Amino acid sequence: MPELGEKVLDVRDLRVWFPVRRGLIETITGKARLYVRAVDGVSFDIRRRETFCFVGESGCGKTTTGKALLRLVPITGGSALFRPSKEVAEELEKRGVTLGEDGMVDIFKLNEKQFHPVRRDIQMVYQDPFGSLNPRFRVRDILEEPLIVHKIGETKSERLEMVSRALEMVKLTPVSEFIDRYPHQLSGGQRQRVAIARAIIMNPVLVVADEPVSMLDVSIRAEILEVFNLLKERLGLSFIYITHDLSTARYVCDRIAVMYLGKIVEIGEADDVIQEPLHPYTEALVAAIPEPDPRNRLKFRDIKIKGEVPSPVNIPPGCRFHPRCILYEEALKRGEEWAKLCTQAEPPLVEIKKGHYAACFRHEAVRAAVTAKAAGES
Amino acid sequence: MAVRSTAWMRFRLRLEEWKESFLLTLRPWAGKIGWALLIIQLVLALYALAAYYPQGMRHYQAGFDWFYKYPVHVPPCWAVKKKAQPVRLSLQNVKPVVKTKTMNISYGNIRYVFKYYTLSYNKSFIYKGDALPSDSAMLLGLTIPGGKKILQAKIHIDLLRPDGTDFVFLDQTIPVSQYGNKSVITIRIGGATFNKTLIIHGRPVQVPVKMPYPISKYPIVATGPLSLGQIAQTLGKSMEKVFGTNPFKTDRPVPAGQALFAEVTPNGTVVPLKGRYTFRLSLMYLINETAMTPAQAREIESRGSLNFYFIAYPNCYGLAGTDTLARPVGLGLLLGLPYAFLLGFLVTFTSTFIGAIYGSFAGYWKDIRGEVMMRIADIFLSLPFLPILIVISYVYKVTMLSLAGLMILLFWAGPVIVVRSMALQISEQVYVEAAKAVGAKTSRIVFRHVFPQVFPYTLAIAVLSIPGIIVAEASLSLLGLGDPTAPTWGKLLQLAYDEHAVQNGWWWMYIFPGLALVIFSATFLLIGRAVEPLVAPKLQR
Amino acid sequence: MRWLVIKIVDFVIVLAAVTLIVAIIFTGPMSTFYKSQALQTVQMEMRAQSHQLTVAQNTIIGIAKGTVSPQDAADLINKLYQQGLLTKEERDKLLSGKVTVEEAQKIATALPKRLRAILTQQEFHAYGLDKPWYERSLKYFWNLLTFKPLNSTVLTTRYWPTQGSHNALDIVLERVPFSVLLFTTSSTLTVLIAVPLALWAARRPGSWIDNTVVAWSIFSVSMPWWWLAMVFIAFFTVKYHIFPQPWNVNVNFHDIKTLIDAAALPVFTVTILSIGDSAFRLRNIFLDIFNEDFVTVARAKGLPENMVLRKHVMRAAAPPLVTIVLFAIVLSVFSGAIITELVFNWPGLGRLYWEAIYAGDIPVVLELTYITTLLYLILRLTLDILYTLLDPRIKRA
Ligand SMILES: Nc1ncnc2c1ncn2[C@@H]1O[C@H](COP(=O)(O)OP(=O)(O)O)[C@@H](O)[C@H]1O
Ligand code: SF4
Ligand SMILES: [Mg+2]
Repeated sequence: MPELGEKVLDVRDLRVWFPVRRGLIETITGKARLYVRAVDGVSFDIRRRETFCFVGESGCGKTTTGKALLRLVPITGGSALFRPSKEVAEELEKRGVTLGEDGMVDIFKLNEKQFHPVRRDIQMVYQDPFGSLNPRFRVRDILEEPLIVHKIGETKSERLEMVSRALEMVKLTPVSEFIDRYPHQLSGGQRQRVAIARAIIMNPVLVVADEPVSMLDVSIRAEILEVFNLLKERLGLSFIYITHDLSTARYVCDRIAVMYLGKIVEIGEADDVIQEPLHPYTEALVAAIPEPDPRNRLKFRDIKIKGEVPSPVNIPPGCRFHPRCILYEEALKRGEEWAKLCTQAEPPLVEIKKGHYAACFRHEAVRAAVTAKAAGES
Repeated sequence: MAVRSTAWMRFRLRLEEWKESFLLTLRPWAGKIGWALLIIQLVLALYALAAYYPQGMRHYQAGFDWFYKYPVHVPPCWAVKKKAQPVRLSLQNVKPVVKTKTMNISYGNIRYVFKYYTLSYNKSFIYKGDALPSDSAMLLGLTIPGGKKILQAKIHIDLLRPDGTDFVFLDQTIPVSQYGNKSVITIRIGGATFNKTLIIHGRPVQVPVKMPYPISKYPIVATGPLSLGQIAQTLGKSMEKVFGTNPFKTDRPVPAGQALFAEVTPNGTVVPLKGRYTFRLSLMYLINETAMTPAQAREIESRGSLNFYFIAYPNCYGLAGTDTLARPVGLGLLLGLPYAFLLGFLVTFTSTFIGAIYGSFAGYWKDIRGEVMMRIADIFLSLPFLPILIVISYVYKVTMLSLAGLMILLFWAGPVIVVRSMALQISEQVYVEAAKAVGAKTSRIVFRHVFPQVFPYTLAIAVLSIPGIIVAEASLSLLGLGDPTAPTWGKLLQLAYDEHAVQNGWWWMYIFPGLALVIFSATFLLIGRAVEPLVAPKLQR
Repeated sequence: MRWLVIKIVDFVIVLAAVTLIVAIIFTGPMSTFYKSQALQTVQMEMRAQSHQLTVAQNTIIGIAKGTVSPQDAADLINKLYQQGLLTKEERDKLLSGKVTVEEAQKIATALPKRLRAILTQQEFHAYGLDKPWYERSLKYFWNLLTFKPLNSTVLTTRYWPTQGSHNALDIVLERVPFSVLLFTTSSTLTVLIAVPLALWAARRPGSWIDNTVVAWSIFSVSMPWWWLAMVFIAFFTVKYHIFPQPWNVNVNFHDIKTLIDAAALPVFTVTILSIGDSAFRLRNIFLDIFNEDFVTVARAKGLPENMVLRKHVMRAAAPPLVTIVLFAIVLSVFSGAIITELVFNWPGLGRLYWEAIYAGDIPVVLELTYITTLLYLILRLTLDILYTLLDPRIKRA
């Protein structure tokens, strides 16, 4: 476990709700507006040089969380304190933004113009290496675009220099061979390297990598992950690494946040989460990891989950996992008292062990937090 | 090293791409014909510009002496079986015969010396054409020395025909002024039946019974003492003497310009009279040479001169004939070509450009802005463009460029719907979001990521709208509303319509311009149809 | 329902926009039409009144010279005063007879100028030229929209029961039946011929019939229709006397035989031309339908080809296809085909354009543009709605 630095990002209660389109008639008749609650109250923090992972089934809001940090989706609520780099901080001062005492700024409170310099510091690598590069652009055009947009580098040759350096950094060498190619002349792995080079060319603070290897050949995934690790070392970056695959997460992540239907249900050190999951949903995910040891492959394993993910438009009341939770079902059968809470209240994320949080009423601490809150309210 | 080879490599790559798609469009027969026609027409248009811009183009439309160079509304030569023999005569190398007759008169003790001084020219030619010329014209230049010493001048012109008959053009005493006379007269001997009406250079002597074409079109150039009416009367009388009052039993009148060479057969048909014709011209003046030295006398005598040209026009011209303004139709077709290209390319290119930018924005903005933009484009799309074009060009006289501007204003919305659906798809692409994430502004995304992908395809499709533009211009011209100075094909068609070419059987006046229009438009339709299948999947993507 | 509302709103906006544009073009700041017309009217009035003016001048000078007694001239003087040609003092002076010859001459020479000024003001008022242009334009805009009568300057009605009317609206409306007759007949024929033709061509792509359809579509789109009309007239009426020569026929609705005779060639020409584009469009649509799943499935089930065509293709496609064809025809008619009437001497709207332009009859051009636009938009809207209702593939979002 590498040394963790200061906090660079502190997200509190992030919500991203997409309104469902209504017809004219529905608007006139005043039918209530419905929302896809893609991200519904997510809090986490990230430190320097840390790789923070989001894990969860497809559709649980991981990508949306990542995009929210780049303000690529409309933010419904919440705050995100971010520690900008020195250059960006200066630029922000110029635009009339004062940083907090700890050098952090709420990037959701900035307007579009003020947020523009922050885009230098937060970058994204997309899942699809074929779609994320403009087929009409050469590699140099792709890498030059951020520099031009942010007016970095006075002359073309200066920018070219930076482009070459970025390409070297992602091990796309010899540079002169690749710099004039079009994306269709590159392999999937090479494309993803270009995408990574574009993300790091401006020396960002935070890179959101959205399932960067899921669409690549298994054979080259390791190389790309190696590039990420190297960059973290060399540039002191923090990563948000989004994946639906818990098995690779173990090798990449420092901490893991497990998401379910727009909410984080468990956060903790990667090893802790995988070895002793505290939430039934995480247990189910861990159980689904293919056993590396071939002798154990055929061993019977419990299925810890049932049914399908509900639509994020109609989120079940209480614990949003309860319609699928076998633990709750069994507890109810057994007539345990706490199981009633599952349909009545939302379990908050509570620290169960040191640095290991979970949101499930099976833990006494969580129950206590809810009753304390209810008492406080009444 | 990399930098220098880069531009070249990139260019070669592009070139390769273009070549590939070009070769693909050559595969269907439509493409082959289309491209071939385009190249031929481009070469012709460039030739027209090089050879006739700008003077020739202006001249074609107005103010040139087409009238004296070419026959009026004659068919193309390949359509005429019996050809007339064109005749061109001048007195350039003809030596005049000078005759003098001196009279000495004594009045009291004063002795007067008068001298008749006669200049006479004979110019003969042999006519052996199988048909009558379409018309004849003559130019007569007359210089008579002035002053008190000249007492009288007289001119006589006639045409002696092979059968011994004689047409007198002019036999007239000319009033002599103090200061001398200089007179040039140009005569187009065309017009209606000579026995009812003789139209000489557009001025009718009597009211014509039936005019084959409007008289006012014929310019009149006459100054000085020679009167057209005089010539008309003289010629009319002598023709009547030869042919009788109503010799021609044909339903079509024989114009006087043709009748010069005509013979009436016993059954009433008109045939050309072949053989030797002689023009006899004489200019005579009476000089008072009293008390003149011989040198002075010679000086005065030598000042008089006569200049004469005669043209008998062929009854066919070139590959496409001539129109009622005596302009070669073939030249008109050639000169119309650059205008067609100008209008077609300018309007298509610009309106596609505007439409593509507009559509890119409308597709990129998925909110209310895009909605509103599409509504506006819809409104432009449902404008009835012909009535609006008519009204505007009726109220404000248009030029070729302002017409193009007007059409752009009406047509720019054409590609918007297709472009927008393309732009919608492109802006869904991850690389657009990546650009946004990097901080690229809307304008940069639209102009760098969306527009360059959209424009070539829309342009390829927009080629299909060139025919509509050209046809619209022709329709405006037919109504008399186009650019009056531009010799477009529509203008040729308008002339044909206004001069009743259909009724009169002057088919070359409207067939050829129309064909030119069809070929020009079809070129782009063929190319467009060949390109469409290559582009359509991308458009619908 | 939303789509219907949008379409109707679009219709109203376009109609208003075009009418406003037309009104501004004719009466806006850059237009000299009405000004020159007003001045022309003034000139004519001046000429008409020149005799009375001379009489008045002579009378005034006569009073001063004593040859005319003021009592005899009192009526005339008072009339002139009422017209505003004399001031009060001048009238009093003249009536009293105490006026010098110089003064009288001055008044007499001023009379024509005053008359012209008064007439000009009257005419300018009548044309609304004394108001700012936007007021004038808005008034014309409103008059057009509400069909207020507008007097033509040259043309009159010729086919209406009441001939010789100067109402521009009448002049335009009496031509509408002719255009409607010509173009509805030929569109009906087009639909009847183009649909089977296209089906035939689409069933054998690449055959001679298919190639003919494709080639003819190219030619029919690339030529002005009136040009082919000229060629046909030359061929069918001048060279061979199959049809009556258009310039020798006087069409009207009382003489049905002549009407049908005269309509034959125009209908023939327009039909042949509109078939070109329609058949090609339909052929492409049919080709698409043949490739669609339900047809393939029907064929695979072993249904006979005719049955497939009748039951599946035609039933699914026919109603929207007809509207597509009609739509294309309406579009081509209003974007140029209507000019064909000019060549055929057919007294419809297209020919009226030419007549009005050559006669310089501004109000008729104005009214004609409005009515044409209105007709076009109504037809468009109707077909649009029909199409949306008939075509199951269109989402009525
Ligand atoms: N732009 C959008 N508009 C409406 N719904 C969206 C949008 N983007 C994502 N969603 C919905 O939000 C939910 C979360 O999506 P996402 O964040 O992409 O999930 P993940 O990346 O975890 O697979 C999904 O149900 C998705 O349908
Ligand atoms: S809170 Fe209840 S329903 Fe939710 S995960 Fe825990 S046990 Fe299951
Ligand atoms: Mg995702």
